[in-house]
Amino acid sequence: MQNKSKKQIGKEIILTDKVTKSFGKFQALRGITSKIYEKEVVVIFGPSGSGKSTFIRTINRLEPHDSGQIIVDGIELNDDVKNLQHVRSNVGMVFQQFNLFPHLSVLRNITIAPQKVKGLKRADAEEIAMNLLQRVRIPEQANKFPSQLSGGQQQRLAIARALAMEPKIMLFDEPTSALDPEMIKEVLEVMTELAESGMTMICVTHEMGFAKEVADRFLFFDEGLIVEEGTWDQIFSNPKEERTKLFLSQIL
Amino acid sequence: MNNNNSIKWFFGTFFGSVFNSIVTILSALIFLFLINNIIGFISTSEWEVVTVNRRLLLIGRMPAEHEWRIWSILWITSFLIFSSINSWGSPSKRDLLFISFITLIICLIFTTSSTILYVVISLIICIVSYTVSYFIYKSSYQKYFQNSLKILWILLLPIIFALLLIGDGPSPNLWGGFLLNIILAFIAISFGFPIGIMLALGRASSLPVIKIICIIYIETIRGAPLVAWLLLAWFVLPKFLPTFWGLNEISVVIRAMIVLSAFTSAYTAEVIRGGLQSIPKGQIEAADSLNLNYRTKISLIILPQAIRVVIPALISTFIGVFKDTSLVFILALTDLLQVGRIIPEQDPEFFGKALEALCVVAFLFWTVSISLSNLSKKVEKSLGIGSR
Amino acid sequence: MDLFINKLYIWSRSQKNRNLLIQFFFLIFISLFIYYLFTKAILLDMTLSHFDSRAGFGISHTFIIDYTSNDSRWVSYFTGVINTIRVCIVAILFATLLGTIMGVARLSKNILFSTISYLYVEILRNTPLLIQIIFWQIIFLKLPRISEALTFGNTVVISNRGIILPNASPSDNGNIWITIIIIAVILSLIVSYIINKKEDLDGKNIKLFNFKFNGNMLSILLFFTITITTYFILQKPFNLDLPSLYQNNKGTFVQSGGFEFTPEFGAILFALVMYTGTFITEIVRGSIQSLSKGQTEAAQALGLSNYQTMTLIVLPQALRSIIPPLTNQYLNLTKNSSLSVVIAYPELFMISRTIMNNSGRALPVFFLILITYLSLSLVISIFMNVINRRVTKIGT
Repeated sequence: MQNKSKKQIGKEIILTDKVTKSFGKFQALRGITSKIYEKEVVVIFGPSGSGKSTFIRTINRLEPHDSGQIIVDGIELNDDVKNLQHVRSNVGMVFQQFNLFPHLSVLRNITIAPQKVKGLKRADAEEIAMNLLQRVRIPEQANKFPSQLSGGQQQRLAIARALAMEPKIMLFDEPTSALDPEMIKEVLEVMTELAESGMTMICVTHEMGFAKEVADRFLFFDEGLIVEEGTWDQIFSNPKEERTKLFLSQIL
Repeated sequence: MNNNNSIKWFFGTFFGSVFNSIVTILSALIFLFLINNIIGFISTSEWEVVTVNRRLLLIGRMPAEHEWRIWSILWITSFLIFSSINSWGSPSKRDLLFISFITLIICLIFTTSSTILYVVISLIICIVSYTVSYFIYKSSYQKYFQNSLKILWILLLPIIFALLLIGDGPSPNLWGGFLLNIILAFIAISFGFPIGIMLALGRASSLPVIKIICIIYIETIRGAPLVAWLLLAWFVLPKFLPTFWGLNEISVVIRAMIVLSAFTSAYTAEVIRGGLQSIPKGQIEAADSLNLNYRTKISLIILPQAIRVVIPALISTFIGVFKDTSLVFILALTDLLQVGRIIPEQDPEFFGKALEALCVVAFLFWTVSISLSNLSKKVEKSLGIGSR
Repeated sequence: MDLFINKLYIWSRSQKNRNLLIQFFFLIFISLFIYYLFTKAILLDMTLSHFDSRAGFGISHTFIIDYTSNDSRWVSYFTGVINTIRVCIVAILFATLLGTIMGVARLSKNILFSTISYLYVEILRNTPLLIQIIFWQIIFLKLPRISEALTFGNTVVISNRGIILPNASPSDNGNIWITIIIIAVILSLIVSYIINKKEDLDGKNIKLFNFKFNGNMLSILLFFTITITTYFILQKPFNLDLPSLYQNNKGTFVQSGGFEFTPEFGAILFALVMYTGTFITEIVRGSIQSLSKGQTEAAQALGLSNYQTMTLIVLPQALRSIIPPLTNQYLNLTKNSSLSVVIAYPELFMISRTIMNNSGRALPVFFLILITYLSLSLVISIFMNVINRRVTKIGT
């Protein structure tokens, strides 16, 4: 059991206030109010359709929210394009389906955003890329193409790609759900190392073993609302709500 | 709050950026120009050229005493169409609107003082078959009805031919107008589809002789335009047919049917080949491991899956065949388009009315094509294939 | 005897031997069929010798070749081939352009724009091409008669005999200007390449008057600067050949000069472009739509702008699935050009038909047609294959 008390949780970095989002007649989010702090690792779990993915996708505005307020690193998320650019350069995202660019090499997948968005020199971008590949433990794949990598390697590449922009916050949308069991471990190891290095992370995941080790706080989503939140001990040993108890009995 | 949002949305969508605004203005101009011209045309045009020559347009020069055949064909076909609409799931409101609109316009085209009785009978048949099939769909006889409809559809072509030919029917050379287009398309598809399946299987075969023969056939036919093949039928085909049974003097219409069927078979073969290629190898391996023989394997496992995947492309090909039946003008056959072209040119009463005639001709073709196209989309949706 | 039957039985149980047997029978069948065709074909004259004799008919559109009715049929046929190539190249270019614009329009959020595209496809795709050709011919014929031709002050002549646009024939200075244009194009392409390479290596920091410039924009600016300034420096680089309309001494109108755009060419061109454009629209649209939404999401999550997402991520991937069906449409367009027989635009099919009618030897002429169309298709396929390989060569 990791000694979490050593980690210094910083100031508030994401604020969501009564955020709602509907898709046609279906209300995915019914008023989410939450605060996320720097260096905090938050794990979001819950039944499918409860709004978990929708929620983290509103944070980098892949889904624009309908009402309520979202403030990321002091910038409010709205239709303002400049603000959006700012927020997106500070927030990295890792997708369930990896979404790697198949026509670009592994190295180019990582360097394309730093070069084109931040205007870095090619040499600098490649240096950052190689360091990241080293960190996610696939440096030898640099000149291959995503289709030549295994699932676990692809997801680690996706993590490296997101980290290349040096974000302050990393969002993970069920990163291991599309992986074969023997590859889940290697991705979780990278995510654990990332958490220990002090990155602010929000993860939607079903991997409770990993979450127990790494998460500072848990949010239980059901039907578009945060039903319960707390630490591992608070929620898993002593769930307060009926729905939480029901869901936990199904997954544990 | 809502008003503000709609106004913001309006300006955002249409004038969001400089580029967007230019596009909006250009599109609006194009729209206005087109609508202006179309309304101007419709209001100043005279439609006698169509109303007077209705018969010619629809059935060509078929003698009047054989008209009953056409009406019986129309009634049987309407019955089949309107029963089928309701037998495989209910159509949506939008579909119903579309169907009623088309039926109305077709009735308008068909109706003259002498034919009004027949048109009314047709309408009654449409409505009756629609309602009856609706109730049968809800009842327990649905399956039987569906099967009988399927059999009827398969028998439709022979029935049409029987109705046209029995009792000393008019020779095929007299078939013309819209009827000709429909019959040609029907025949081309009915023969071209099975032959195309065989060609596709042959092309996928591992036996080199069969494979090469199929490839040569397919690529040769696809190499030349349809008009060239039709012309070949005109000039050359008679010389190559055996002289017994008077076969080398078959009518031009039959020759057109042969060429169209061959043409359709080549294109169908290519489409089905695509479907065959998309079947996972595991299917064939599973069939082999179950010790199914070739015939069973192909007809029960492979073909159903292959065809299901390419239904949109198949229907698109068939629509193309229907449109291509207008090319038989090169054989001096008077199909709908030819009639529509010739009348304004040769009948002094209708000089200068070429555009009106052409519009009606275009509309008739368009109606059939878009109905088939909508049918294809519905089938795609119900089978869950095709693009999102 | 029994041994023999036994051996036969064992032999026939091998799948390989059965295959051989099936093929053997097929071969026999096909050979008999070919023999039959052969016996019938012998009766016909299968040579193209009649192509050497005088053609005896006029051709309304001649391009490159100066054809007269005294030339041999070979010359007439080649004139037709050139007309086909002419209409096909122009039609392919414009149809691709139109199809691409309409395909992107269909996905646009501008409702007006996407509706135009929707109506365009649904109406023109389901109407036979033949009808569209005749439609455009009628439209062109509805232009004013030659005696009331629109002239817009002597610059163009628009009538039902066609549209004549002003032609520009370069003087000596003009030839220099054209050379300069070509040099400018090459120069700006080189500049663009160099700047992009430099950006790639050194990051984006090319500043002109404190404004960050894109490499492509700079080169386009360069091109226009060079061409426009040199145009004005050189005096009178072009002799404008204005179309003129006058009545000769018999009272008939004669038009001369300028660059002629006949109703027939116009009709077949417009029809081919509009019709094939609908299919290309659907190809482009389907290709962009089939691209997983996740790609655009990932690109945007990384902070790439809309323009960058389009050019770096979406289009390179979409192009891959566009090119094969696009090639198919080009081949269809080439074969559809044969329909201009209905409005008497003399491309190769119509001329072949005339020859067939004149000389009666259809089969060898038909082989010639077949070979010609197959060759045209082959050329297009090879060309598109090269493009395909370049596009699928992965990289940016």
